[in-house]
Amino acid sequence: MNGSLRRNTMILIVSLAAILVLYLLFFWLPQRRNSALMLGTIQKRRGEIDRCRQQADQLPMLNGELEQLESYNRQVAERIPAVLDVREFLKTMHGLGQQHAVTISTWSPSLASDLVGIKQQPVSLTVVGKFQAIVKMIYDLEAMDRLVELTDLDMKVKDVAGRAEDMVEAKLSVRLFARPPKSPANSQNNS
Amino acid sequence: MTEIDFLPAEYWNRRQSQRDQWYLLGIGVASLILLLASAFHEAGNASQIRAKLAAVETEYKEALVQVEEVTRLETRRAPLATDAKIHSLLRARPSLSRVAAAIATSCPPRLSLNTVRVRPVKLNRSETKTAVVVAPSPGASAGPGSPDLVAEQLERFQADRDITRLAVELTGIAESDLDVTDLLAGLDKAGCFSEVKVLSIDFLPIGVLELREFKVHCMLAEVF
Repeated sequence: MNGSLRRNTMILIVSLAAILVLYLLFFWLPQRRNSALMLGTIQKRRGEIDRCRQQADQLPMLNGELEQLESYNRQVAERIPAVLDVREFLKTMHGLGQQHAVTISTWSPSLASDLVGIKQQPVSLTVVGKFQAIVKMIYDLEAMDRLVELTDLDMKVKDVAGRAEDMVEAKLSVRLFARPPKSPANSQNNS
Repeated sequence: MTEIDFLPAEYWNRRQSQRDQWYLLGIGVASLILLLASAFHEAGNASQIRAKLAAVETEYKEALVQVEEVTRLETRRAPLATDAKIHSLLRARPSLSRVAAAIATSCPPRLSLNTVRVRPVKLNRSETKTAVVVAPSPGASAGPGSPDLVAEQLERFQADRDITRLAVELTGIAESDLDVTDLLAGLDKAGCFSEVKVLSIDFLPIGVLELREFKVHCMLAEVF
């Protein structure tokens, strides 16, 4: 009887040991390794998520900045026509001259050139009138819808026979701007 | 009282053996239950971690989408920022009407101006607040409209703006030196002129009067 019990005990211990070894080798250890790998990936991903979140935090600011830029550009672009149109400018100048009693005696446009994607053309003008009227006209010119740049101003007292009031002759250099519409290829690149 | 065991010894041995067998069986079953419990626990842990990983992966994908959006907006911002810079440079010019008005209000009554000249002058690099260096871009060979070329043109434009100031030159006639100094003080007080100086004062005798013919030079302040 004792021999049978010992044999049964041995069989049980050996089987349990075999099952334990198999369990450890083929289930527990791979499972642990896999879990460790997954935990490592989770930790790595969390770090990456933090970095991404830091970048994503800029999103509202960036959106706001873009809106501001677009609004500012739209506002200025409205003041820059698509073509230089010197004739239209001269018409405006004559209108301003009539309004302020200033005579435009000479004008001469120079060659148009390119300035960072914007066309520019200097126009020289000589106007005659009273000092205050000329200053008002220059003010209106600066404040008009179209963006222009006054680069030079040369004013001198003009002797006009038979006129008691001091007349002033002013030479003005005005730079006109125009932004040609972007080609479809360029606008596609920018969008 | 004495207890007499009438059962044979084999009976007791068999019972003992059966108890041992049950005992062994119990140990075996208990071990297997423990093993199974451990296996279930491990599997549960693993599935929890897997679920967490899946959630983290989803979160990561969402964060990546936001990063892509940031990158897309930054790409969109670049040309807009260039345009805004060009527009700012175009608009950043002093108003000549305000200059003329400031000159007129700075003039004392007994002084008359013959000429007012406002013209742009290029300063030396050392005179500007910031040193402007336009380095040739590596993509200088790129075609017209390329971002490198536009950036380079913009740099040049800005550099040109940075070194350009408006110089104001006034000539006229005053009754005395005091009137000329009043004009200088007035120009200084106006707040939009700097480096106000007299270039020349000449005597101009007209009848009994000794008038002064003067030439004054100043620069338009940078921010005006």
